[in-house]
Order: sequence, then C-alpha cells, then structure tokens
Amino acid sequence: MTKKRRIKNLFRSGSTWFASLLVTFVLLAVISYIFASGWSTFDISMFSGNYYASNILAKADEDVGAVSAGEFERPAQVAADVPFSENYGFAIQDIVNRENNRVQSIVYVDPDSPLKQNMVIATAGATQGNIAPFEVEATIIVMDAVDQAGNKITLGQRKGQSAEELVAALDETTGILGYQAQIPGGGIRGPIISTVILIGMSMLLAMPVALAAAIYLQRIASDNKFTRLIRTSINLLAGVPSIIFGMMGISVIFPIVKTLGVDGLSLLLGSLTMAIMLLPILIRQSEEALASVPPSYTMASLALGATETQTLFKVVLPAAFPGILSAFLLGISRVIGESAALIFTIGTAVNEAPNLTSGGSTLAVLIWNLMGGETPNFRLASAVSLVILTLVLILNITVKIIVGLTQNKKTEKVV
Amino acid sequence: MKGRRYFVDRLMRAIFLFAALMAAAMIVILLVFVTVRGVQPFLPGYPERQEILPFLSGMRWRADQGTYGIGFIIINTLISSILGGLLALPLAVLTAIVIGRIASPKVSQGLTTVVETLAAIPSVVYGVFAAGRITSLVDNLASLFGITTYGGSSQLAVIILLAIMTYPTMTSLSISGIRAVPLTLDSASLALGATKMETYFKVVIPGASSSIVAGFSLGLGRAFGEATAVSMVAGNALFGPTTSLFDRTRTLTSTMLSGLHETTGLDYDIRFSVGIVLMAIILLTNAAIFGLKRRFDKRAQGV
Repeated sequence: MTKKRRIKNLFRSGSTWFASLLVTFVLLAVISYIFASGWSTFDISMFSGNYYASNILAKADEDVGAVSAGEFERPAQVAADVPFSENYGFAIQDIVNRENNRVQSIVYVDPDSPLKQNMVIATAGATQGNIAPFEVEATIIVMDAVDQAGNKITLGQRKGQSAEELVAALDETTGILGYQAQIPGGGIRGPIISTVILIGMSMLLAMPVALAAAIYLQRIASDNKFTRLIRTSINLLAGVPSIIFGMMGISVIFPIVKTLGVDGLSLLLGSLTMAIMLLPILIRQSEEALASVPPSYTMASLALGATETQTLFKVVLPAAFPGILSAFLLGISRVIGESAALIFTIGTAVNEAPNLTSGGSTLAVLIWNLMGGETPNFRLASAVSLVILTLVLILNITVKIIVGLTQNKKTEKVV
Repeated sequence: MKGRRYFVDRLMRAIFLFAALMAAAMIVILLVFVTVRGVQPFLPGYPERQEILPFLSGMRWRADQGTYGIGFIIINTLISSILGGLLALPLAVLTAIVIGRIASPKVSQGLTTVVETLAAIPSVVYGVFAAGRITSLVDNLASLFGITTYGGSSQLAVIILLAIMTYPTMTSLSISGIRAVPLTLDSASLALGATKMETYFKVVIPGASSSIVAGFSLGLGRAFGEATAVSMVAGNALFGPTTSLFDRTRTLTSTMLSGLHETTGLDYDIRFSVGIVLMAIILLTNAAIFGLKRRFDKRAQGV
C-alpha cells in the first residue's frame, strides 16, 4: 500500500470518528446547557404558582382596630439565622426571586399569627373586605405599624430595611395597621394545564383516525395507484412545516370552530390543528406496530372461525399494543414540544386558568414568548425548557424501553 | 347470523377507508385554504391591495410603514438553510457510515440513541440553547475579527442552529440507505484489494446516494420551515440581503412570527402570502435537488 493511500485511509477513518464525537458533544452540550442554566431558577413551587405576580394591599379590620402584638416562639423548623418576629409570629428572609429581583420573602407563618386573621384586603374589587392571605412565599414590600409612643411608622423593604432590620423594628411595635405584599409570579401552573388539555384533546382526536387509517393501509388496502396516492398525500403532509399547520388552523379550522360557538383563539382550535399535524407520524408508527404482528396470528384466528373484525380487535390490536403505545407516547412528546403551529392557534398570552374554549399558552409557547419581545426573560425560559426537555426525554426513553422489551420477547419466542 | 357478521366487517372496512381518505385529504385542504387566504392581499377589492412583483422582489420589510418586500428574505432563507444543510450533510453521512458499517453493535446503538435524542429535542429548546450559547460563541468569534454583532443574533448563528436541527433527519435517512447497500458489494470491493475505508467511501456511500439525497432534501425542508428557534436568533433585519455572516438576518418563518398581535388586516394576511412562498420554495428546492441528482446519475452512467 502506498504511503498516500495509507494517509488517505487514516484521514477517512479519522473524519468518521470525528463526526461521531462532534455530534455526541453537541447533544451533551445542549442537554447540559439547558440543565445547568435552568436548574438555578427551577424550583418545585413553579408548578403550582401563578404566572403573573399579584399585589395584596391589606389593612387592619376596622372593627378590630390595629392588629396587636402577641407572643410567639420560634418553631424548630425555622433556622436560628432566619429573622423571626416574636410579636407577630412569622419568619422572613432576603432572597433573589425568579424574576431576578431582591425581595423579602415570608418563609414561615404561625397558624395563630394575628396577621393571618385580622387583616382584610383593601384594594377595591370583588375581594375587598375578605381576609387577606398572609402566607409563605409572599413578599413584604412595606408595613404600617404603631410604635410604643402610639405614632404610625412605616417599615420594610421600601424604607431600605433588610429583613433582619424589619423584624427587629416590628418587635418594638405594639400593632400593625396595614401592609403591602406581593404574591410572586413566574409560576407555570396555567401553561401546564394548557399543555395537558392540548395533549388530551389532540390525542383523543388524532389517535382513532390515525389507527383506523393505519389499519386500512396495512391490512386492507391492496398495492395499487389509489393506495399509493393516499400514501403520497400522507407523506407530503409529514413534510409540511409546523408553522404552515398554524396557518391551516386559522384558515380552515377557525371558521368551523366558530360555528360551534368558540370564537377567537382557543385550545380547541389548537387541539384540532395539532391532531391534523400528528396524523402522519401516528399513522406511520401505528402501521409499523401492525406490521410487526405475525400474519400467522391472523390466519389462525380466521381459521378458527373469527370474523375479520373479531380478529382485528381481539388478536391483532392486542398484539400490536406495545407499538401503538409507542406511537401514542411519541405523539404526546410532539405536542409538548410544538410551538410554531400553536402560536397562531392558541395565542401567546398566559392564561392562569385555561379551558378548552379559551386560549392559553402552553409550556413550549411560553418559552418562545419569554425569549421574544423587548426584555427576554432568559432565566425563566431556561427553567421551563428544563421541564419540557425532561418530559420529552423521559417519553422517548420509555418508548425505547417498550420497543426493546417487545423485541426481546419476539426473539425469545422464535428460540 | 352470518349476514350480520359480514355486514359488521364491511362497515368496519368502510370506516377504516374513510379515515385513510380523511388523512390523505388534509394536504389538499391545507394547500387550497392557505393559498386562498394568502393571495387575498393581491386581489382587487382588498382594502390595502399589494402588488405581487414588488412583494416578491422588495428588499425592505417595514411592517410599521406598510412596506412588505420579501426578495431579500427569500435570499437570506435560501442562504442560511442551504449552508446549514451543507454543514450538516457531511456529518450526517460520516456518522451514518460509523453506525451502519464501522462501529460494533453496542457503539452503533449508542450513536443511534444520540441521533434519535437530537431528533426528539423540541425546537424551542434548541432556540433557548442557540440564544444562550451559539450567539455568545458567534459574538466571541466576531470580536476576533473586530466586528460587533447584535448580541450574536446573526446569519451564522442561524446557520449553526439549522445544521444541528437538520442533522438528525439527514442521518436517519442516510443510515437506512447505507444499511440497504448489500454486504456482498463490500465483499466484492474488499476482494478487489480495496481497503475497508476505501470500500465505505467509494462503494457504500455512492450506493446509498439516493437515500442520502432524499435525507438532504428532507433536512432542507425542515430548515426552511423551522420557525420558533430561528426567530430567537435571527435578529429580524429590516432590509437586505444579509451579506455578512455576522450581520442580522430575517427568514420567511421568522417574518411570519414577528410582531404577531392582531388576527385581522393586511399585517396578518400577508403572513399567509409568505407561507405560500415558503411552501413553493420547499417544493422547488426538492424538485431541483432530485433533478440535479438525476442528471448526475445519467452522466455517471454515461461514463
């Protein structure tokens, strides 16, 4: 072998391994980046929290007068270095929140704290006069208190006090007249509900149609021009960019949904659009699942006198179940990750309590929304990315495990 | 009894056929309705009627001034998608040959998992990665040349992002193409004295070329249509075409998504027109790629 040939070979072999290592590196880079940058913002209370921060303006109930101080003991669960107000029975700490602001957050409230019972909401509106919620996670902005001389004083972060200074000052007072607090935002409960509704509805719509179409193509259709035309059409649909499906949703499904009485962008519109978009992938996966059922099963069943329909529902579909389940899970993973089609059909605004007939951003759309605009909120976007990446990876690993298990089973049977 | 049973069978068959027809009809419905909506702004009787030629050749997109020209956007989209695709193609073919021929079953299974996982990651997640990592990479690279970027949002960032996103599609098609090349061809080549590497590069890869080309065109389709991730790093230039890799760009999809507020009026309807152009570009490039491939094959056979 000439030297030139040997060098060429070495170069070729090197390039193949270089390419493999490079793509593995890219995958690890993406995953580790999302996990690293999302983890610092992520906390479990995100799942239940509101997206929008809400303000609470509370004042002492006029019938009762200023909320007077009591005597409270520091409970065991509050660490010794966390400022704890013995007069009013709550602990508060300086933290940096998800929106990257320095705030003073309540970490503990005694069940008997007078602030929990005798303060009412002062903001005009339907809830005015209700007992104000004084709860863990809320952040105190400012407090009006009565000092020992009977004068009104103002305390808190707005006055430049740290949590420690606030508590020290509070414990010198005899009562509280009112306070202003904020329940922090940045929670993703609304987008989670939207995502769940969207998954449920779009799979409910798409799966039966896809399965039926797959049964036709795999078991009934003969190989002729007509069947090939159907196949080509479905393959073409698979190649359409998702943003175009969004436009289809607006131009085709929007008027249909409107006649049902649901006007504007809604999760129903999004689900119908997603269902159409999912058809090609669900059909292909279901077809593979059906193809994996040995023809001998069908023949045996038919020979025993079962009808086609009985064979299908009692023999073929149960045997193809793992594959159909895989298709189902892959479909879910698609819905979780989809954004472009949904931006057009469900809108980008976050809805705290979405339902089928209202719009509401899903997790993926929320990420897009957070990254766009004048001031991108990168911290929250990467935390939400962490959530959907984890979900998608879990779903895909589950599918791999299912496929692996069924393949093992089959080889065992052959042996 | 028997009659009823066969009736059920026939009914079920009809239902399955109907489902298949419904799925197949969707592409026609989609094309017709999006096209009908997209040509509205150019029809007489539309309140702010647009002219087709200035729309297609315009080098300025100022939605705020009512100027809608997508000439430069088409050029930018073609450049970034094709360069991204060309960046991904060699990587795809090389990993496909590792998975299909070189590596041991364990290693090749591991690499297949890598490719599948890359395919499964949602595009918004790639967008966050691109906006956080790729842009800073591009920004650092640009400062080496003494160029300041718009925070890294640039043509180059879009190209790298699209290379990553089109890679899995191209790879999985290349793998199935390479697996379909019969091992007897390998044996023949080895028996003639070629080394293993020469066999892979001169026999197996050319043998899988039609799958590789199919993968390339499918990947390009994905690159053209990729929307959310691209819109996070494109920077949405207002005029063009973008000539520098480090300058901001604007693609057809990022245009369709930018400043989406109302759901009526010209600013909304014109997005459907952009959508038609997008679909036309995908179809035309597919046709062009397969046309080139056919001509190339004929010439190869002629020799």
